[in-house]
Amino acid sequence: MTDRRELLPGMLEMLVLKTLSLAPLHGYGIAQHIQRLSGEVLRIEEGSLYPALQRMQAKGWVSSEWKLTPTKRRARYYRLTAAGRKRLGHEATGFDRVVQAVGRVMRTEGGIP
Amino acid sequence: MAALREAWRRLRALAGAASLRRELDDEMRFHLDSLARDLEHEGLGAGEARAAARRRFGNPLATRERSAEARGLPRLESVVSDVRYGGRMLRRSPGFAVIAIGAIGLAIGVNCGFFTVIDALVFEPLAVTDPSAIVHLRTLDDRGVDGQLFSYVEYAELDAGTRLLTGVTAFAWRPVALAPTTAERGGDALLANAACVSGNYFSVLGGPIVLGRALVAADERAGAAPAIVLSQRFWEAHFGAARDVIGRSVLVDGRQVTIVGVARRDFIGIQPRLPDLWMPIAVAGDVGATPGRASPRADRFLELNGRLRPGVTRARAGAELSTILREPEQREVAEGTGRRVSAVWLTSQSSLVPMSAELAMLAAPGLLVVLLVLVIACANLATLLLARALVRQREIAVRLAVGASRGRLLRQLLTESLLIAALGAALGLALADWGVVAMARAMFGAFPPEAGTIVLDLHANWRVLAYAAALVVVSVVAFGLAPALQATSPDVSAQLKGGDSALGGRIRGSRLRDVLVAAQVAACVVVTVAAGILVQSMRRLANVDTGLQTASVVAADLGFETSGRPPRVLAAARQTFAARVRALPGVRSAALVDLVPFSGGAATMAIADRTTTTAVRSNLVTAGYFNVVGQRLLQGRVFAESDNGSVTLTAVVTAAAARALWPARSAIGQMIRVPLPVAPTPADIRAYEVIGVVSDARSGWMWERDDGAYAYLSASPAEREALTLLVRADDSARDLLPVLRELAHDVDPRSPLRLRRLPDVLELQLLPFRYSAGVAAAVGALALALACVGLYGVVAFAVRQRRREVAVHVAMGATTSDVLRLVLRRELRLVLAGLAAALALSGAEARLFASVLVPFAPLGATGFVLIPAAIFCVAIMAILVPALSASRVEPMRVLRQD
Repeated sequence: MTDRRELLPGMLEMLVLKTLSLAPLHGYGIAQHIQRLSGEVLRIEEGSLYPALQRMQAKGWVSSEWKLTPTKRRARYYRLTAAGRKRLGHEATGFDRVVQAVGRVMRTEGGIP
Repeated sequence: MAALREAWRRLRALAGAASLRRELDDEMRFHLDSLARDLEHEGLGAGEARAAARRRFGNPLATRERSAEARGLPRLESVVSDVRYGGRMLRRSPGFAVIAIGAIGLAIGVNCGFFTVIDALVFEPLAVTDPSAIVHLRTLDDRGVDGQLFSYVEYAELDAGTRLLTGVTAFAWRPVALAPTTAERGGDALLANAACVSGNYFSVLGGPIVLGRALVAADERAGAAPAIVLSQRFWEAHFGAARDVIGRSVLVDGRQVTIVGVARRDFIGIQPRLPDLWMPIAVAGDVGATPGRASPRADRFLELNGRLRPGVTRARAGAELSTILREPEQREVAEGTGRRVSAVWLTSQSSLVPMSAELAMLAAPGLLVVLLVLVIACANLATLLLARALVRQREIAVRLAVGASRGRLLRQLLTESLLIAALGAALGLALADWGVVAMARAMFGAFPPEAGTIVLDLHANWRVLAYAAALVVVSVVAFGLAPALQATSPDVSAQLKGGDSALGGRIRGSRLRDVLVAAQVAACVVVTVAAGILVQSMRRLANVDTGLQTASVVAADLGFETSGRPPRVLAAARQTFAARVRALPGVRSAALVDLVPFSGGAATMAIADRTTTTAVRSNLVTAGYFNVVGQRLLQGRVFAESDNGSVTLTAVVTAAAARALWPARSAIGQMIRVPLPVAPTPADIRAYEVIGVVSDARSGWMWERDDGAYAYLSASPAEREALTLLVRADDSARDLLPVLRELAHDVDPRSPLRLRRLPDVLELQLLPFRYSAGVAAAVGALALALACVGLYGVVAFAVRQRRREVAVHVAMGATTSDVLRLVLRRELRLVLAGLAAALALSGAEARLFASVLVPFAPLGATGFVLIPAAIFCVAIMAILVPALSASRVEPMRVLRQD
């Protein structure tokens, strides 16, 4: 059974932005993408995804338009804006820093001086 | 910039709210479909896939709402939808809506009406330039007696000497007779209310003029051409708004004056009474129109006001004015002629009746009563809302369960309350506006024309609207918050299981409801007691003992100096009239008097004994006066006809005066010295010999204590010409009036006769008090009605809540009396608690009223027993009736009902 962990708060937006930086996508697609790439470890709750998308759209990081999917169904596609790209860079850098710091703490051997 | 974009986005979102929701729905559906499709591809059957997808997705409705909110869908949009929802709810239960809006409307209406009156008097700034700098002068003498009248001499000294005020204005009322000059059609005289003012009145106050010019200081100099300024209302009414009125001459009390200007409609000076015309005091003195005499220092009849220079405080200016008066006064005191005024102090006069501690105390009882009405109405509404929440319990529980946020539901319920309160306020404002204006018109219409035109702007202005809005907010919090909080509390499962807690358990909301019952009872008692005290006090005032017998006395004034009639001719006519009146068959006695009883306060004069100066009120009378008004002789004798021609002037004093002036000796034979009307020099002090002592009376303002030290001076022949004739009829004076009129016409057809019955004059004073009593009674009745309805509602609601409990008891064999006892036991405790609180509050309330209401009459033991008893009975009935109906319901039906 794959070990499902809860998404840390604040990470959802970052993951969505990163996903959209690859290509414009609809909400379902975003959720599937993240799930797949994380090896089913990260599972996006729809109840959080759509409010987050609306929030990001309100803040101007993403824009949306209704388009037809390859299977000829109507869906709302989200796309990253320039401001969103900048935000993504900001978040990613911050996240890296946090991860490295956590790693440093976790890798220490021996006792505390 | 980003904020602006955000705001713009929100506004656009407001417009597209519905479409946004639709889009979100589409999006959710797409997601769900895609998920189901993928699950099918993984091998599940179509139906299973769908079900699994739905399970995975969670609650689409909640997600949609959260997304919409995350979008920042404006609170505005939800507010609008809340309002529409609230409106729909109200429309669905019109009975509830009518009662709720009606109750809160009446309560807010009563409160706004009260505030409108206070606002018009206290908060509405005077229609002069910069009203905040206007001050009112008052005096404090060395005995600590407060006064507000000054003499002309004092006014002149203050105006000339002040550096800290831009000017001091003087003002006094006087009705005059206005007539066209003989050059035009010899017409009738008009009775006009003149304001005798100082020349700088308009310039200091900043009175706007529409035609001609205002009065100026030059107009006041003795010998200046007499000039008057008309009020716009008077000009339109009696001069046809003719623009050529400037420069026209008219006769004022027989003397020729020139109209020089018309003051703008909204300028009314510093009092609610609008003068018909303004004239300078010095000129007024020439035409004999000043209510006092313009020369001696001691003759105080003027009200003074002033304007502070920028940066000057009232205290500094008051000190300066006191200094100015000190020196001349000390001179006079040394000569034994003046009173010493220890200080002049200033109060702000930025509105008609400036706010002061005394005013606040005076208004407190009224405010208390109307606020209590609001409390009662809110308690009623809270009950209604609680009952309604009970009915909608299920609906709310379901909505909470499917994920509606508690905050949202709370907002919706509060919006409904807000809607009720706002609609009620609109109704209340309309009622207040109509009611206050109608009442004012009725009351002022009952005043005779000489009382003047009272100009009060009693329509709602922004302050009244703001007050109404504040009341709406307070009301919503008071009656809407608690029921709404309770209805949306997270105890959902209990709701769904069928609400009413079973036997013995604590019923939800019972504490709030209990408080409501007790509060209703208490408020009811307090309001009724207040109304009772007010009504009682007014009644006592109306039946006050004046110490005089004036039921059949009439005051007759023959002619004002009009149409250029020489004063001698008029005097002769009056003498003839008086003589012939005395000879009439229906007349018991007649006398002349200067101040007609009950027509106002008498001016105080400084009456000096050899060593001391005492302030004593005085009146000029002739022989027979005491007979006419029914004042008893206690010592000595009254005036006789022979006194008129004698060399020594005689006076009669009241018992109080005798006590004050000569505490250890008999008053008979003592001398009192009175300053002469015309000359201020000590040589012209008149000495009067006291020949008698009469009983005390109350002939001035009824709400003051009685006349106190009063001296009746015998009128010299010269003074008699201007006095009023008082006639005592054998029986009802009604028959006398036409006879007197005929007689006057016979004696002098060209002089109008002014007749007043003394009981009517007294009644005029008491009019405002009667109206107040009427209003108090009406408000009390309203409060009582509201409270009784509310009490019934609360108890009926409680009994209904315990229906199941009662049903179980009945099923177990309880009789009706058992049920009644059950219900009574609980409610009775609350009622008694409410009564106890009310009695304590009423005690404090009565003390408040006693200290504030001048004509206070205590409610008496009967009142304090009857009122709570009556309300107790109402409460019992309110308990018994629903309880009886509850006990009669078939228990099985209630228990099965869910």
